[in-house]
Amino acid sequence: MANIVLSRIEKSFSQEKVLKGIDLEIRDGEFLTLVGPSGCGKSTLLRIIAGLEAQNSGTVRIGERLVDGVRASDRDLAMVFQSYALYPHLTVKENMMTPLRLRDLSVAQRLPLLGRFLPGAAGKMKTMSQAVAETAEVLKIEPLLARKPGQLSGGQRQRAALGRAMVRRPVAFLMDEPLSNLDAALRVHMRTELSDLHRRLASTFIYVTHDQAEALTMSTRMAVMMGGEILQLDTPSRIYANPANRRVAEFVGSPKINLLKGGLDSSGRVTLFGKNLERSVSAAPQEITVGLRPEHLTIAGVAEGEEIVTADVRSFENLGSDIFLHLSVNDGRETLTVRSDPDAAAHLAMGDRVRVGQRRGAAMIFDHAGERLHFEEPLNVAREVA
Amino acid sequence: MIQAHHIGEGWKHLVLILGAIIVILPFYVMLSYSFKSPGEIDRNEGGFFGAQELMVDERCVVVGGSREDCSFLPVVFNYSKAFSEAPLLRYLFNGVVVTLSIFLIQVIVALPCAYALAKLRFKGREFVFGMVLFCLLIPVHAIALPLYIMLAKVGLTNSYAALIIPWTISVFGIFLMRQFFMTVPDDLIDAARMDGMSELSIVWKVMLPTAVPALLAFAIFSVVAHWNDYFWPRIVITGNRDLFTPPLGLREFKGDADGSFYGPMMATATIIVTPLIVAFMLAQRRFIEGITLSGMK
Repeated sequence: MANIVLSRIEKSFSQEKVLKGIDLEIRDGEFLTLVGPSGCGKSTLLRIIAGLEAQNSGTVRIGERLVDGVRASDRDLAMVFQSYALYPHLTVKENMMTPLRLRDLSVAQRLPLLGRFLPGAAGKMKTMSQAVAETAEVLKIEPLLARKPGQLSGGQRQRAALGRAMVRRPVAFLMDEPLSNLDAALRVHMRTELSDLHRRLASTFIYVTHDQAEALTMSTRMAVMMGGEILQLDTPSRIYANPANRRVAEFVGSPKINLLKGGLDSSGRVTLFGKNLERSVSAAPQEITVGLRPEHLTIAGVAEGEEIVTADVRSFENLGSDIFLHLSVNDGRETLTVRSDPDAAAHLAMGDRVRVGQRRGAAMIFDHAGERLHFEEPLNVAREVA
Repeated sequence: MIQAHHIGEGWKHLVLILGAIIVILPFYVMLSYSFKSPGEIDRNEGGFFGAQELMVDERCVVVGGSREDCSFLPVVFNYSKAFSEAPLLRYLFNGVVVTLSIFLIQVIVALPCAYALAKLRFKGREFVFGMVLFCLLIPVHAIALPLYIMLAKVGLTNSYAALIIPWTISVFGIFLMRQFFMTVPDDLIDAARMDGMSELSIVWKVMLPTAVPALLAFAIFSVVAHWNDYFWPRIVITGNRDLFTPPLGLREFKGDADGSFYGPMMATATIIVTPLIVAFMLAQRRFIEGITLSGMK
């Protein structure tokens, strides 16, 4: 068990800079998610930690040990791959034994047929078998041990791959989009299982995904990466509520945050749809973007004059518990997504005009470059209707 | 409509049947001649099996055997002659030694090469692969003479080594295996590295088992080519009959002053091709089954 410290990691493939000086400290026992759109460098960063890829500059430290130039297998890490990467010609048990055999047996003891009769081999084999059996019990894959990967379903292969990683009892688990190949229902189920597993093993997990929902649901902390940089590193709830800039705000949250054109007057007051939001920031007058999450808006019980804008209903997205309304504002020049109670939206039809009001929470303001502007002081705190 | 469809199908089959006849006919003749007496072969009679009437071996009589001792069923005569006239078993043994050695060494060389060309990143990889492709274009016959001279200079002609060494590096094998290895997911190799395998053990313990179908295809290509090869053994085996490979053995029956010896010759030919056909039949199932990468995706 140890923390992992990355400092000034840079990596480029031919001309393209994939990682631009990453500094990151992964604390002992935390579930850290690297999340970002594809091509943001998150997988490369994971492979550098694993030792499968060498960085151009910067250092990786695991605990007290500087591991640059140390072989992947000697870093005491285990990795779970998107494609599971089980050896197709070996049974699940043999798959799980492989890392143990390679680590614990000497070259001579690994010899086929003869090796097992060498002194010490029998004892080691027994402990190894026991380790495999224990792990299989934790993952509930005992009945699958004798099968080959080709005979397993996606979820079972996933477990077998996890098992192969777990038997080594590594200092940290590296996971590269391990749930991407599963169907939707199983993916949601495996999220809870992985969280449980993390709690039970109390080990460090470094998890790479492009799915912000996975990052939000499982992580202790998440690092949002884009264009080879970490844009924000914090707990999921803080990143969701308080994104550092426009790109993070846009990436995290589903459906996407509403980004609306707004303005600043000379005194720093924010205007939206020509109305004053009664809040101000200290910045020069400029075009700004106002971010409002779908759940910050409502169409229910908005009295005349209280609305921030009126809009036309363009489509419904019914999720059962909620309905997402897609609205068009200003004759379709801007669109708005509003999360609504099914009851409140029941009487609506396509093309209806509705008043959209702010429900709770505050808008987020981003300047013309996309950086977050913070409100100066909470002016007579806007309608907390809740 | 239905009739037109049937006629179309009929044409397809007719063409296929014609093709099959053209391919099978030589084998039919070979097998048929290996059953018949010399007289029947000369007069082209007796159908497929021949009449199988007792025949007298004139050469046996000339050497002083009685007519009863020298009477045989043609099929017995042909096949026993095949083994007695020349040391056919010895030739078959040579054939096995040579083809298996060639294949084994080809695999030992080609697999690491193919792995490096497919999965390792190093400067000049594309150039090396280009050279591999280039070597595919060089016909064996063009370099046969220099090869022979080299072997002669080191005094290796008339040895197993002369039969084996020139074929140990199979450019085709490297190419074929490289193409197959390209389809093996990188994750599998990375997983093996994380588990602590060296690059060489990745080749033998991960790549080889996943590549069995491709390897079988290559095995058939390699074994057939070298088992049937007449050209190269004819060049490097000049004196020592103990080193003859099966195709060289066929020469023993070529026409002498007292006429050609077709029956035993065809019997020998039948014996030579049988192992290949049997091996192919056995491998065929494995071919289709293979170890698929289905466990991976």
